[in-house]
Amino acid sequence: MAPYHRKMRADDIVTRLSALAHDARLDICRALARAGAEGLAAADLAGRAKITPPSLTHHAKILMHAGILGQERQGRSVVYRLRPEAVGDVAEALATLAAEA
Amino acid sequence: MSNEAAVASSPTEPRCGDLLGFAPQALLVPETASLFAALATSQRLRIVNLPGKLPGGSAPAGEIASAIERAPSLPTAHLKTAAQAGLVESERLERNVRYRLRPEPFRHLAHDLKAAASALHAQPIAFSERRMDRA
Repeated sequence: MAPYHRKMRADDIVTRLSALAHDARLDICRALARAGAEGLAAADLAGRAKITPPSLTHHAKILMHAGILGQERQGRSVVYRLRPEAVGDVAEALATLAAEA
Repeated sequence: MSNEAAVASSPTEPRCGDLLGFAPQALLVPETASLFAALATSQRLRIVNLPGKLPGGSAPAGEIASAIERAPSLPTAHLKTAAQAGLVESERLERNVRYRLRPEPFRHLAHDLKAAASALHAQPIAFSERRMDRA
């Protein structure tokens, strides 16, 4: 059985897809996509995604584990940003599935 | 792919392509999370991908079961979940129900995610540079 996607292992893509399979986490990604490469500080991101800071911490951890989010400490706050490589990988895997149909 | 051209040539929205925020497409619909959820098991991914590899691009659950060497009940259950999410469709031919992947939701999601990734790649502002600018 050939792998359905040549670049990413199935486990990786499944981890990324599960990370995206949640409304709050999609809202986080949408807010970060709008914010662009600079990313957003945690408090700002929680506000824009309409979730509480503890909830953001929880969901951000899942998104970071999947490689979709990056995190950096800036002074007293944590800045999150979307990792375009990971987002592009998911896009490519889904496009491959569509092309093979 | 006309949307991609619009994204690339739109100077008013350089940060966000036709994507997670503004697009009328897949990532904006309320069911987006369920689309991802329906895809987020390796077994289901493999099962929905199989009909496309078989002649005619569709297959009955039994044929898919043989291909993955499992009981037919397994692909049947996964295909039902995928069908509820709109990822596969089925047609009845005589006594067989044949399944095929619906490429549209995959294309829409891929398009939106690609636009998001491109928009981010287009503005390579490093964290440290940003801090120095503001200092």
